[in-house]
Amino acid sequence: MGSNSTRIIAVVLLLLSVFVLPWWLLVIFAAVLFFYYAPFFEGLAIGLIADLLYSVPREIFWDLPIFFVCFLICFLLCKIVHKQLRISN
Amino acid sequence: MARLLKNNRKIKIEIRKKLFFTAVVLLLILAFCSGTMSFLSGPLQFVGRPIWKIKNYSVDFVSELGVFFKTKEKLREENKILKNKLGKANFQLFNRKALLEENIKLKEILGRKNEDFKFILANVIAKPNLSPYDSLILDRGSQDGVKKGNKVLADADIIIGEIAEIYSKTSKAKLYSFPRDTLNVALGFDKIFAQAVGKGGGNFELKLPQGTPIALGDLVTLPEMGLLVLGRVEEIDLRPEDPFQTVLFKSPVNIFELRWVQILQE
Repeated sequence: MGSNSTRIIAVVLLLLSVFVLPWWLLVIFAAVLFFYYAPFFEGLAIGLIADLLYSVPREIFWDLPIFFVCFLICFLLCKIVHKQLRISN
Repeated sequence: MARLLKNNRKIKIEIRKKLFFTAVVLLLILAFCSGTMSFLSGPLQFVGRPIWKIKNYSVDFVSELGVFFKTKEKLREENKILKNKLGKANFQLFNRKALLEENIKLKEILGRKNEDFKFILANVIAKPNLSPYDSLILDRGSQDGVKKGNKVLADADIIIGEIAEIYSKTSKAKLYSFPRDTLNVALGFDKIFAQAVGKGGGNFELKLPQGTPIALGDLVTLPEMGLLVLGRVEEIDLRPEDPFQTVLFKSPVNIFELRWVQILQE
């Protein structure tokens, strides 16, 4: 129950950070949460929200959602690291 | 044997989960790129607007508190520096107004019609540092007469971008300086046409053949909007082995500190 409530608080804080923090700080904060709460699916949803809020049509990056893709990479990397940690333990 | 079957089943479930996850991710990316999810932007902007305003108000409040901790001597010194700067700026403004009036009169003599511009004043509620998209969120939307493609200006004669998306009470402006975005510009008094490439944060780069007459401080404008300044030449990179010179120019305003912009109604 305790870890569930902290996870909810973390999700709310990450969501607020989308509106308040500079993007590079947001990515660092999200990466920490992705590692701590792996698998952190909520982070992917928040990345998509950030893209919907700020994105404008662009020619580069094939118009991909930048936050979502960055968070997806974080998600996959953290999952791999966790798996390796479990194997080594 | 039963253990083997159980393991096989677990592996199959794992593979199905991964396939499902991959399919969902690909669908979301496809939906985003095709614009299917754009209907969510409006409600998100509606939710974000009060949060951004509270954030901006808090930042202003905290920075004003800092004044109480400054010594009298420092404040006096700062006041003197600011008065000097204001005096110089007023003189330049007076000079510029005179030149502008002369420009308008000469155009009238030549039979060029001078268009009256109408502006909508908008507050910047989300600055470019909140995202890597080099975009601004403004507190004026379709209810205030803002239209897609309207130019966005800072200080009334510095053009920084245009409106990319509109919502009922807010709008999103894309800045011309987004990395690798290209733009046709006119450089200097002779209006030399060139293609500028955005470098992000109000910075641009363009290449011209060596020997093209340009100098530091030359103004860069958009060809169709001659009186609106896009930037000023800050650096010219000349190399003997390169037949081209790299010109770096920058917007005269700091877009990370913008608080108010004007939306040009065409």
